[in-house]
Amino acid sequence: MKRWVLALVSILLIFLLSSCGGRAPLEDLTLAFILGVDLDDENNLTFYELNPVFHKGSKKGLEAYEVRAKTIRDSRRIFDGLTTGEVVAGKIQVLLVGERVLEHAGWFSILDSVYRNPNFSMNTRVVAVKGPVSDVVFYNPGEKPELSLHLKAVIDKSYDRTRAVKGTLQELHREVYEKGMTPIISEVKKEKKLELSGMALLYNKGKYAASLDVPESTLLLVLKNEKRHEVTMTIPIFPIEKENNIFHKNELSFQASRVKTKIKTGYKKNAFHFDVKVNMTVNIMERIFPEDKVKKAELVKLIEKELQKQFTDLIKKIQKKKIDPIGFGLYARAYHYEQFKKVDNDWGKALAESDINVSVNVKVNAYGAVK
Amino acid sequence: MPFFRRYKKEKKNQLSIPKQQNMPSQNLISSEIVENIAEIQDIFSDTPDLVVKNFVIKQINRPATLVYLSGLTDKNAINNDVLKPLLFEVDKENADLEVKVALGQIKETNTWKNIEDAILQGNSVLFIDGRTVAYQFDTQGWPQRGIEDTSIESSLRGAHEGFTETGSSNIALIRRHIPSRELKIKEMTIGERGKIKISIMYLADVANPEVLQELVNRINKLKVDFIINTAALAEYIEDNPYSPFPQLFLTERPDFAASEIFQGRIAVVVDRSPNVLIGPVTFETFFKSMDDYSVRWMAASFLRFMRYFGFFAAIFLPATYIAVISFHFEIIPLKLLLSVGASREKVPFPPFIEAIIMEITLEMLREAGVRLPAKIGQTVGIVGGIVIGQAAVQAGIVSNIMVIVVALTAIASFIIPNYDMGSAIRMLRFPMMIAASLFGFVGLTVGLMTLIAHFVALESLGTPYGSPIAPLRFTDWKDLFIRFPMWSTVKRPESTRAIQRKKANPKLPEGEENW
Repeated sequence: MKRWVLALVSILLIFLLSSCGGRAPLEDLTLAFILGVDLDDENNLTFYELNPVFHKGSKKGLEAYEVRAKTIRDSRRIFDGLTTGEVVAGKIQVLLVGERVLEHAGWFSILDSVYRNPNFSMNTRVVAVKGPVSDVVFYNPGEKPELSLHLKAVIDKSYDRTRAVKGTLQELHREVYEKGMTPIISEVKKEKKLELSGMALLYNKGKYAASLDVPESTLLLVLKNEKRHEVTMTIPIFPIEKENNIFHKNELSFQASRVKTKIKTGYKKNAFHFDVKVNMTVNIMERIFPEDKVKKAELVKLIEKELQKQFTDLIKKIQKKKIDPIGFGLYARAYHYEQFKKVDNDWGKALAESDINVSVNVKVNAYGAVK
Repeated sequence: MPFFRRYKKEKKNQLSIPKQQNMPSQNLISSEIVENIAEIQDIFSDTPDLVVKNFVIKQINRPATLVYLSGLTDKNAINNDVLKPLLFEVDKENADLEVKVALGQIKETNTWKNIEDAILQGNSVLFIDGRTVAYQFDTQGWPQRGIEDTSIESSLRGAHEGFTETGSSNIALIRRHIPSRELKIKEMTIGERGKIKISIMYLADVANPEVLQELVNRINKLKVDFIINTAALAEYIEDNPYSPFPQLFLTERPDFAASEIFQGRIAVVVDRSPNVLIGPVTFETFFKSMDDYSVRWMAASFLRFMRYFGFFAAIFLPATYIAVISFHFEIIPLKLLLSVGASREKVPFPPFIEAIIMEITLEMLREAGVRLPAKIGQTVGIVGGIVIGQAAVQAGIVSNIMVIVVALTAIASFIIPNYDMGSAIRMLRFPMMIAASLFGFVGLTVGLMTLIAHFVALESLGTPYGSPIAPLRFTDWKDLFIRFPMWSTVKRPESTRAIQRKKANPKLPEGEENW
């Protein structure tokens, strides 16, 4: 009997419990899908938020807000005043950072709330915006799926085709605090349409250093040994002979089925040496010029030569900006710790002074189904 | 709690009142037939179906009386095999003047208690003037149902005969599967008024004597008026009456009962009940079906996996839905989140209320369908499917996703082959839903842990219920999730505590019996 009474009383007590405080059913929440950070003309921090609207009456199914606030957390207060439900951060897909923000060195610290507050998802992709963030947030493609889905899909697909980095909050955090390398994030721009423009290379504190276009991004990722499902390049094989080259009759496209980059390090005469070896097995996908133009044996040489040139150009560009998105510093630290330790606070400069050689070794696996 | 205490006292007092019991007379019968008839009529007063037939036995030329209950006896047997020879036949060579009837089973008794019991069980009793023994003829015959296909535990390819309400024929059905002298039957009678015959069947050289003794002791301890069927017996003797899980297996299939006896388990046949009780059982027994052994092992294993998946889905799916919608929206993939959000938007209730509405509706629909005649039963399906399912969503009372969850839950619980386990699972999902609505996944985890803790502690006839999972016994896993091919299973499961673990198998060397 006593047992029953105890059981009954405890069940009743459980029913009376007010339960966890953070409880609100899904439909009562305003799920932020995109969060944007930008500076306006007077250098005031501006935050953008885009969330879906489940209500049947809404035509677009989306709403976006722009507010001026002191911090990300502070912006939530204002968003809450604007939206129907409680604004929650758990599903932020994309964090957009404006060009103007990136130009200031200390911008990374405003993301503190994102890392400190466990409600934020670490899988949020951080994307730089060339131009104002508002152009992207208020962009309504109409015929495309919902903006956050679209943007995330563009980034992820490009990542799988080795054209962009995922740039999640977690990766960014590591790259910012890693002395042996500098951060990279993907970059989008909105001209007529929203498109992926490549990558933004940042200094160690997060300040903007340079932009890479999409083909350069692929080269960079190959050097980083971060080949994903597919690496495709289209390169010119020989200089154009005639003036009239509407159909680019000197181009060749290939898909690399195996890409392996090896970096060897050395330290001589107060400078680091890096020997970068890129081994590729490629399948030729496209060859605009006729077969007899270039012999097969020669073709491989030409591809190697062109690639080597492109890699070298890229590395020069990086050295010039005194950044290290490839992560040479990681190798230097691993093999020449003492020397690296001396320069680790200004690694970019040390890298700029070091000597980097690139050699490309291409093996053609298949020339395609036609002659 | 003074109120409760008082109530308790009163109850005790009630119990202490001595039971009024019609104690049958222990006296012996008299040699005077007139006295005997008077005694019989005294015992069976107000019994219109009692037949007292007075006649003279031709053979010995003495008055005699045949007494029986008309509804419980086989008229043919009485008329042709008892009365006819006694009334008309004379056998000069029969010097001992024995009673000659054309029946196999004749018992002699002389106590009134035995006579009374015999008559009540459908025997006919013959008193002969001048003798102090009465003859008891096995003339039982009552309205009987034929052997039909099983209704709950139906099978596609297994045998299509089910137990009936007659204990003796149920025993025969099992015995047909086990033609062995080692098949022993312990018979006992329980129920002070009901006098139910109970037959405990086991293989003497396989079943564990301790387990058997435990079962016999528990049945012997019963002091009840009657038990109405096997399920009632199971309820009286099971180890933990407060558990939601059934701890003894009720089957209506002779082939299943026989195969379990072969494994070293014990079957209890209860007269007047079409179910046979099997013990000791383990949790996994409730996820087996006879069809597992009549299809090829890969198909059977696949179905087993589905059942275990169904078990978890039926308990946790609605609870997970509630937890996810109320607390953990982060784990929903983005696209699903959009469609869930859109369908939840119209619903005015919190997820818990929404789920309770649908789950209760489902349970009511199911219960309504079970008791209704088949023709009306179809209507229930239409009402449930169309009216509730579709209209409720259109009216915005529940969301589309909830309907899917409820439907999945229902299907998942239908996949459990055993009815008792199925009902347990149907019930268990409600506490889980409450826990999930209060604390989300934390509540769900606490619920799961509680369930596991309880499961591990359970016993069936003193043997661990969770075997071979909770006491981990890998040799028994051959018939757990994957049903290994029959030829590879050479040992009886350890959970039966069989004294002879090795099954007859030519592949094994001799002399390794007590494995």
